[in-house]
Amino acid sequence: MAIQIKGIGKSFPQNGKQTNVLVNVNLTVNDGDFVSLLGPSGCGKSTLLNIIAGLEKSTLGEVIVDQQVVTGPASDRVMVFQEAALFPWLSVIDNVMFGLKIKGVSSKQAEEMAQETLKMVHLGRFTKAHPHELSGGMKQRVAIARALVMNPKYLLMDEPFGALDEQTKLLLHSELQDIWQKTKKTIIFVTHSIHEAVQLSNRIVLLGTRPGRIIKEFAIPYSQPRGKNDPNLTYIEGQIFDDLKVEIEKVMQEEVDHDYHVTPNRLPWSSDRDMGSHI
Amino acid sequence: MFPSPFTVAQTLMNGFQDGSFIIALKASFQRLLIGYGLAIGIGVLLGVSITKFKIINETVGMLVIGLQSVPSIVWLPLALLWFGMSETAIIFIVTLGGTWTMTTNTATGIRNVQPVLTRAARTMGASGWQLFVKVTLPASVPYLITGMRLAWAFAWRALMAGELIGSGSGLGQMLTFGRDVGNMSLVLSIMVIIAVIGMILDNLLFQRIERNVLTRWGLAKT
Repeated sequence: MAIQIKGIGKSFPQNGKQTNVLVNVNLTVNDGDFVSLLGPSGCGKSTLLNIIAGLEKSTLGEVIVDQQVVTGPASDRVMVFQEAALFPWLSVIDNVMFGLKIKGVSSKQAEEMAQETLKMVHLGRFTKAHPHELSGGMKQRVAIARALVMNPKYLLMDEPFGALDEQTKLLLHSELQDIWQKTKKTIIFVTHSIHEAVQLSNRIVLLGTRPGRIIKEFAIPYSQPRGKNDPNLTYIEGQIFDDLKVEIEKVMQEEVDHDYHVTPNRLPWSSDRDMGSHI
Repeated sequence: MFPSPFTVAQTLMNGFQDGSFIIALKASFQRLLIGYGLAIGIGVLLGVSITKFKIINETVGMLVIGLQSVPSIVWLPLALLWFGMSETAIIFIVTLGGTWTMTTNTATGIRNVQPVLTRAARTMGASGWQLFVKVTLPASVPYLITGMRLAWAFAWRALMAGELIGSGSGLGQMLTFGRDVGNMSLVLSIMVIIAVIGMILDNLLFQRIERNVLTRWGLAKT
């Protein structure tokens, strides 16, 4: 019962009326969980993560972390963003030491801890480099090190691999699994990739859109590391896709034409491919 | 009435040899540095308070935009009235020359800090003053440098204008003196000095700093 999300609702005014981003979200995250919040774009999964982090306020309900109501950000819940969000004026090691210095750790100790954590993400050679000299994957490794070095109880990740290329993403997936097993952190991971969620997490919370709400929960009880072509995982992926289909259809109908719909094993419907029905 | 390049070169050499140019340069630079320093200080303070306090933004903020379009030399009659024919009057003009552009650049810089940087810092426990000093301010350095460069250019022009009218022993006053005695080679050699100093400081110093900062902050176009 580490994180309890109780009746969270979030709405904001848009074009003169209230738009609901999240409605009545209830969720309990246990210690050591790797929970993925999975949903189509615009389902409020990032908003929910921001509320847990304390970066945004909810309109209704509350988040309780270790028996305490969240009122603002705290260093027991460090967040990793899609953009690495490194401080460009600081070297890699200074970036990693940033949070420790805020916490009041002595420079010498902070440097040792930072070195150690950078080795863990395989960047031991690049401590003196500056962010503009690093590739996207390396930046994200620094961002993960910067979060891990604080030794937070909860690691919040907002599509951390969303902007990376496929190969880098695959490598970082297995490294994150490794980190999770080594450090036993509780991770809440926001993603829109079913495959990523199935590969990494032991629980998947499926969010629907308009308004954002929890529609289903899946447990992935398989051991890690997980093979890419594990039939069990592929089966779950298919199941999740079926549940998400309705939600994706909703998003598409708002973004493109209203007659858009998804049929299993078919290309999207088009009048050009209507073979002979109107002869 | 137009002296040959050789006469100008001769005047330049003589001026540096007998030390009269050195004295003028010293006097000018003293005023410039005091005025410029004040402009940067006041500009940053004003810029920060504009972004931090809504009431200041709505009052001073609008005023600054208006004042920016007033060439600072226009203030000289008032400055002479307030401070007399003194150093202070010229320093006042120089300060006014640089302050407004520094203010607007500081404010723009602080407003344009990527929100994700402050959010990242907040989740690591930074807040309040610490957040401002360790994240917001360094993140707006590219804009601050641009502001400092522009403020330098404006202050330099204001100084010359102020010295042409005001009293003392600066470059501008020497220029007036050259005109008064009809010594055009003196006038031209001082123009050469002004151009060279402007070029050295702007192109070699400020542009170089700016380029380094933009590269490091990941903003340079390659």
